[in-house]
Amino acid sequence: MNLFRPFQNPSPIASPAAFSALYERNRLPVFRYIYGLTGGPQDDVEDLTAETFMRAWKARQHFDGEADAATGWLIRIARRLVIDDYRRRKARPVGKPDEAGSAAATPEQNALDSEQQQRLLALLAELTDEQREMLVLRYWLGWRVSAVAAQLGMTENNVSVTIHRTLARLRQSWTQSQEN
Amino acid sequence: MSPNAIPNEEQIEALLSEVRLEPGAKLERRLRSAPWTPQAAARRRGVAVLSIALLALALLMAGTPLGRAWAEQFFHFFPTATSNSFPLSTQEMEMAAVPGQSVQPIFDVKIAPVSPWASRNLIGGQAMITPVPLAGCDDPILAYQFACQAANAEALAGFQAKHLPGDTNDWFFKGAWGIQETQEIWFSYQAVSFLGTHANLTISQGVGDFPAEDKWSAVPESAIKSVHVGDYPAEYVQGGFVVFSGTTAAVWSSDDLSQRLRWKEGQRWFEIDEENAYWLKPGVADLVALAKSMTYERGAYQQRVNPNDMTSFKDAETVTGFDLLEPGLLPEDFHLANLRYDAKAQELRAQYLFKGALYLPHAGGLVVTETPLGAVSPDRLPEAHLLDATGRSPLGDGIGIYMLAPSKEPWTMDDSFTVWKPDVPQLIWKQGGLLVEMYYYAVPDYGGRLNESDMLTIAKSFK
Repeated sequence: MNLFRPFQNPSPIASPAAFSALYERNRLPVFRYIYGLTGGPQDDVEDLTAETFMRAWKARQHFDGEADAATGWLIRIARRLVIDDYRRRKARPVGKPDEAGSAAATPEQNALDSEQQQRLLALLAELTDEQREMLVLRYWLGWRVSAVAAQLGMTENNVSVTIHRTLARLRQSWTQSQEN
Repeated sequence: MSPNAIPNEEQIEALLSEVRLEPGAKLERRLRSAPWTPQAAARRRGVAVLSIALLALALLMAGTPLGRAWAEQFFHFFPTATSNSFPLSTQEMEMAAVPGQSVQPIFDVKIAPVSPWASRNLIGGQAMITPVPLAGCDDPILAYQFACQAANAEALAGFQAKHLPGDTNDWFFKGAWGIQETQEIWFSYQAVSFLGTHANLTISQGVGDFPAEDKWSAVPESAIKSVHVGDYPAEYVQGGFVVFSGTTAAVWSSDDLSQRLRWKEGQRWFEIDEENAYWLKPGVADLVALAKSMTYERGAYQQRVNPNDMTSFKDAETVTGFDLLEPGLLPEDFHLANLRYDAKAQELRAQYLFKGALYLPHAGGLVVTETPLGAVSPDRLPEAHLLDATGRSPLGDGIGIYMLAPSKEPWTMDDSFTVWKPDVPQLIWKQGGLLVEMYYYAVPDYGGRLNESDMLTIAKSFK
C-alpha cells in the first residue's frame, strides 16, 4: 500500500500563470457556492473563498485531471472547508443566514434584486444541505444536471427528481410563510 | 410579479437563476499577494530555502574581519543593493529547484513510550535549545517559557537582551535563541489567523554592527524609508528579492509579504522582521510601536498561553477547563508538536510528529482530538453510534474503539499540503467523558505506516 501518491504528469494548474487563470475563472462560482452552503455573512464567505484558493494552490501538484475539471475539484475543497468551518463554529449552523444581517441591510442583501430573492434566500436555509447544494450548483453556478450528478455522485435522474421536489417544497414553504 | 405573489416552481427557478451575489473588495485585498502571483510564488518555491542557507552564510561572515569590513562600508542600516536584480549562480539555481516534498519509502513504525520533550524546537534533527543552569529550566514545560528561553539565549550570546514587555493581542512568544559565534539573540513570535494560517515575527539584536549579509538581504536604496524609534533613527523596508519561475535572476519585489525595521541604540543593533501576517496587515507604524515598547525589564514580561500553540497538557487543561487524556505510547521518535483548542467546538487537538520534522502546524502526523461528550455536535455523535453498531473490536473496560472504513476520497488536504490517503487509520472512542478521535496522516519526509494494531496499541495507552 502506498501512502504517497507517485508524481505523474505535471499538473495543468501547477504554474502560477495557470493557477492565476484558474482563480479568475472560478472566483465567482466558488464564492457563490460557499455562500449558498453557509448563508453568509459575506465577510466569512470571502475568507473561506480565499482559503479555498490558498489550499488549492498548496495542493495543485496533486491535481492531475484536465484543467476543465478543476472547478469540481475547487468545489470539493470549498465543501470540505465549509464543513471544517462549521465544526469550528457550531454556534452558527451551516445554512442559516446570518441573523444579525436581518436587522440591517448587508452588502449581500443589497445585491439581491428583489424582496422575493431575499425571501428565497431565507427559505433556502430551511432545506437540507444536500438539497441546498444541489440548487446552488444547478442555478447559482449554472451547472448542467449531468455535471451536478457527477459532482455529487448521483444519477442524473436522481438529481432531476430531487431538484423538482425541492422546488415544490420551496413553493410550499413560501405559501406557509406568506400565510403566517 | 407582485412582491406578495406566491411564485410557482418555474418562477422560483427563475428567481434562483437571477441571484447574482458578488464577492467584495476584501477578497481581492486578501489575495492581492497570493502565492500564485509571480512574486509570491517564486518566493515560496525558492527563496525560503535559499534564505535559510544564505542567512547561515551571512551569519558566518559576520564573525570574520572581512564580513565586518563589508558591513561597515554601507551608510544605511540595511545593506544597499546596487541593482534591482542580480543573476543566480548555478548553485543558487539548483537550490531553488529543490522540491518542497519528496516521496519516501514506506515502512512499519515501531511503538515506543512517549518522551517528555516536545519536538517543536527540534528543527532538522538539531536541538535549537540547550538547557541552561537556571533554576527550574530543566523542566520540560518551564523550558519553553519566556524566562527560561531568554536566559538560555542570553547565556549563549553573552549579553542582556531587550524584548517586548509581553505577548501582544496578536503575537504570542514562541521561542528565543542565542548565537554564540555572532553574539546575536533572536526572539520569535507567532500569530495565528482564525483559519489557522501562521505568521512570524522575529526580533533580533546584537552588539556592534549589523551582521554582514549577502545580496539576498540587500535592499535597493529607493525602498528604504527613514523613520524613528523614539529618539533613534531607524529604517523600514517592505519587500525582498524574489525569483520568478523559469528565470535565472532574482529581482526586487516591493509587494512581497515581508517587512523589516532596523535601528541602533548606542552599540546595540536591532531588527524586527515580520512575514506573512496578511490578515493583520501590520505596517511601519505597528513595527515602530513594537520597537518602542521593548524593555530590558525581565520580571515584567506578560506571557499568554496561545490556545493555538500550547506546549503542555497542563496548559491545555487550564485553557480547556476539562481533564484531558494523554497517550503513554507513540510511534517511535514521535513527540508532541502542537496543542490547539477550539473554544467554540470545545475541541482540543493534539498533533504528534516525528523528531526532526519541520514544525508544520496541521501538517499531518498523528492527530488526536478530544471533546467533552456533552459538547459533541449531533453531526458527529450519530456517526459514532453508527460505528458502535458495527461491533468492531470493542476493547475492555467498556471503552469502544472502532476502525473506520477507508476514506472514500483518494486524497485529503490539510493546512500545509495534500497527503495521499488510500485509507487513513482513524479511531473514535469514548473515554473519561470525552469523545476521542485519532487519525494518522502520512507526511512527506517520513513515510512511516501505522496499521490497525498500532492504532489500537496507542489508543489503549491513553490515560
